Amino acid sequence: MGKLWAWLKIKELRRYPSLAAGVILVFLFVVLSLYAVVSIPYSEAVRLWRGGPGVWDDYPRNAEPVWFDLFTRDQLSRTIVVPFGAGLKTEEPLANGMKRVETLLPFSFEYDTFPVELSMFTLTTEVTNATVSWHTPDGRIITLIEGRRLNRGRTTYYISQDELLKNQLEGMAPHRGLFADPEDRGKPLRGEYQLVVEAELGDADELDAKLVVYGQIHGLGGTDHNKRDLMVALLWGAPVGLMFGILAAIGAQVSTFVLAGVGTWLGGKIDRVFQWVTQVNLILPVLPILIMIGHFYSRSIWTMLGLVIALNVFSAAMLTYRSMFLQLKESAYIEAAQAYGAGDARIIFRYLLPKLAPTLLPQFVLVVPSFVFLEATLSVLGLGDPILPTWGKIINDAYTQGALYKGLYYWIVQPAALLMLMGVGFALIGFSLDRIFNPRLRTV
Amino acid sequence: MSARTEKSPKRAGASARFQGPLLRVEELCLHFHASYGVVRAVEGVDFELARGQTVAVLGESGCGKTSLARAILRLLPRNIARYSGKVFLEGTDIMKLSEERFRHDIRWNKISMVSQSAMNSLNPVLKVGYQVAEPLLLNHMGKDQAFERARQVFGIVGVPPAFLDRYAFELSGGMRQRAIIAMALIADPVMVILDEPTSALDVLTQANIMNALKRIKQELNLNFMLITHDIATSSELADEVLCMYAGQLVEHSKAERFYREPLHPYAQKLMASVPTLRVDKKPEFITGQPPSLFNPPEGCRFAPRCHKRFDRCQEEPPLFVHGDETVKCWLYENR
Amino acid sequence: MENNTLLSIKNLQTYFELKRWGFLSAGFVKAVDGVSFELAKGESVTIVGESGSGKTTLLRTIMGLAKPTGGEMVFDGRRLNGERGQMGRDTRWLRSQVGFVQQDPYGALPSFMNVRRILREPLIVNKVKKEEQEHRVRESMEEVRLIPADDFLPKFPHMLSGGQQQRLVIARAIILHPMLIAADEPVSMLDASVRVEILELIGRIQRDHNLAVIYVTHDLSSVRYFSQRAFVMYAAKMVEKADVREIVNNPLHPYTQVLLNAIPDPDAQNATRFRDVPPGEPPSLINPPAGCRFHPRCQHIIEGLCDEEEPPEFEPEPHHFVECWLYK
Repeated sequence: MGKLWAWLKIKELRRYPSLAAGVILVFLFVVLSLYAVVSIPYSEAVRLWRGGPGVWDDYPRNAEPVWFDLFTRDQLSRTIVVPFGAGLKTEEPLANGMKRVETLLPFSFEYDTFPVELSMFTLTTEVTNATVSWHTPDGRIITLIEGRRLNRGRTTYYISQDELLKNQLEGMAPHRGLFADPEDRGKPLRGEYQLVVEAELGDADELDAKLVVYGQIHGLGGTDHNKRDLMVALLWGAPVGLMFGILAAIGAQVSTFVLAGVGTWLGGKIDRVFQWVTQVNLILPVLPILIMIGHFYSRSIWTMLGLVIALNVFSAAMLTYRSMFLQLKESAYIEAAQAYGAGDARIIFRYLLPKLAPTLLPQFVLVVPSFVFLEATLSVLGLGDPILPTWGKIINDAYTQGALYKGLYYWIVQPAALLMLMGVGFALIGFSLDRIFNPRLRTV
Repeated sequence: MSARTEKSPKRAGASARFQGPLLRVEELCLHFHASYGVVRAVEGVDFELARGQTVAVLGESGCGKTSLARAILRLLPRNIARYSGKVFLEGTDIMKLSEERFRHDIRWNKISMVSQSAMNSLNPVLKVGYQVAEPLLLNHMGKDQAFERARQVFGIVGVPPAFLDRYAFELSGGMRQRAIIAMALIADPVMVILDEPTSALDVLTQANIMNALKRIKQELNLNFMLITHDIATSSELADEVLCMYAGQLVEHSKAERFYREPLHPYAQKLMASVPTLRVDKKPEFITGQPPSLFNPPEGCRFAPRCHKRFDRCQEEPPLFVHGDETVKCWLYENR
Repeated sequence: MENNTLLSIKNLQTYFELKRWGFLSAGFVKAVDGVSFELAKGESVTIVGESGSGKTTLLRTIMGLAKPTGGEMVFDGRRLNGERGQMGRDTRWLRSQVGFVQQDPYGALPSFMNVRRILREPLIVNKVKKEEQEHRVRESMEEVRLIPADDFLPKFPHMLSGGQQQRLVIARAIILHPMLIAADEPVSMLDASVRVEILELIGRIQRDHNLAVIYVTHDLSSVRYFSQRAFVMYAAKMVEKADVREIVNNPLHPYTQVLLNAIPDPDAQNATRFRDVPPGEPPSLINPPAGCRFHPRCQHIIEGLCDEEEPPEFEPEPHHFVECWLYK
């Protein structure tokens, strides 16, 4: 390894700007991966991606990334959450031993575009009926619903999907109508709003309400159809992709290299068997096999990784290495080693492999992106790991949800761009390394 | 078979026009860029060659003899730092010619080259006859004419015409080398540079090739420039000797002088290190190593290893010319 | 009784089988076909021959790198059988007793190991104790005058000159304290002025440690001063054996005469005359000609004899052996 550093002199690096660019890119991805793993720990990531009761409640559906805001003069609406316990509660005891509970949920709306959805969540200890009303900044009060049944525990009132309310608001969808400026119905009214929930409860019971005003934009990556924050997957796609790519590359390339050396040196039957296996393996279609196994057996990423490695060990690279080792086998220093009594194992691992190991590096770097893409391809085809958030999965979702038809370009472009950049980064490094290492090794 | 060819119009016409030396080199310099600095491969080489003379360029590895040949033929790599001097071929300074003119008129036409292990770089998928004729075909000569000429040169070098239709791997080492020599002769040059033409061959094959070259030399009255580190073999062809050390010319003298009693101390030591079969002589060796061409020392470059050095040697000696002997050594300042 | 013979070879044969399509036999390459000689301890001989004469294969057989297929080889009293077989302890032992100096100094050294590592490898392979290893490394470096050793030990082969590389190869060859050094064209890739230096080095090591040396070369003029006897090989057979001086001044076999005649000395007169060279090429080792293998190119051929029967070895002069019918 020391010799490796001696070769990679700074001067050499300066002569290859593409190498520097590639290194920077890959380094950024490594930093991104570390950040992803640290800021959103694995269990958290899985929880956020897989969902569950109430996990996605606070996120808008198909929201665009917040930086879209930079490109419009209007202030695009963001999600406002008035969480449980934030409302103002007043209680009024009633004659029949019950009490009248009024919960006031205030919020400030200072955006130029309408929210995309409006929902209210309530938590009660006992079944009751509630009346919900809406107070606008300019003093109007709109009753949203009267006598709405609230179940014990958690109930959701999808305000924006209330048809009656829609009719009440002259055909405007509630999340627009409730905010519309009376003077200019196309724009929302800015100011302080309040949602008031009134209900009658028994003395010992409790009622709490939460309001979520879903904005148009959310997060650095936007959200998807399941209201999932895309940043989770965009961030986590980096370590998953890197890990898969690098492990597969190591597993496949290094094994191929070692086996090529062993087979070529030992020659005879072993060499013939290896060659035969390689030739058969070359014909096998990798992707269909992966698809089959994914369908019928398991889609876990470790299974896929193992399979990919297994199918790539006896690859075309085996034949390339074999021809290089064949040439090397006749070298004078190998003959000298035999002359002083070195055995087969020693010759393979101390004399043959180290001589060609430097070629391994550029090959290795170049093959990483192809495995990253392979993993993404599997995800896009719907065979990705079911729990892991990956870039391929985003693209898969986007595709099945018709993102392009709906004009939600960011949904596809973001993961695709990241995939491409990662590929470009490795390619830049790999090709530069190739140029650095190969001229010297042409005398092999 | 006496393949005494007619004195070709090129050479006959030329000799009618120009009476001076065939080749005259003045202050030829060739420096390369390397990652650690500039390599001064050839520096200040000056010599003259009369028509029909064969000169052997002797010296050890790294002395610049191959670079000298490339400098004359303008076969230059991309990392040139300096390429200067004058090369007069039949009176014309060919250094001044444009690249296109040089390629068309001089290279292979007037001066051709047989490079080291050229016999191993024959194209394995082409017939030998086609390859030998290729220089002519590339110059738009008709196919029949070119192949006829190929047959002719095969006769000159001593390869049966049947081999025109064979592939390179069907020929033995000696045959392949002869084919390469034929390729160098096919355009009827006035000078052929041979770079280690026989170093990869066996003793008997080597002697055979040397015989062939001797015959060619007599019949065609060509100039050969033979570059080799095998001093004994060089004496088979040489009329004159150019001895190089550390990129510089240190001696240029006639063969009778050089092989028996050379002038320059380095040449003396070099000749002393050559083992002889027939003369009982214990060969000597030279201690130390040649200086690096990257940062050569001031003064005479051989001085550190010279057994005859004295004070003057701290300054670099010029090339002293006495008649047809040239020496770069202070010992010969006043003859 | 102390036997002074280190190596005794009788009728050694090394054949290589040619296989067609991986398993069909297509004949044998008879690289060494009936060679006999004896080498005393501390003696230095040169095997002269051209490419295709079998000299390199002979050397490799002696070193244990090629398996003999017939004949007998006795090394330091140990009989090494000439059968095909597995790599036995005999071969391993033989390899540790012969040091190998190769033609290409740079190619003979692993470019990714430094000098210390290169020298330690033979010791590690032969299970020399660690303390002893360091001592031997330094000892070898001093023998070949790569001093101060500490300067050279961390260097890599490409940092050394050609001569220094070859010294390192020699140091590696002697580090196991072998009894025989096998040198295959040890100086042909070195500059003229360095050759003598290296040959003198080998000569000195030989004398100091009473090592036997076998040089294999086609350049008799360079090793003439460094060996006592010379063996001439042609087409897998040893056609002449004698003292070097005898061979040079009084070559008996027609091939030897022709060979010597073709070697030039640096002499300006050479340019004025043609050399006498026999026509033709060395014969194929798969299908050598009947009778004496040189007969198709020989000037002194005896019809009916040379082209039909292989000549046995004759001794027309004391200690001067020839395989030629002319000396019957």
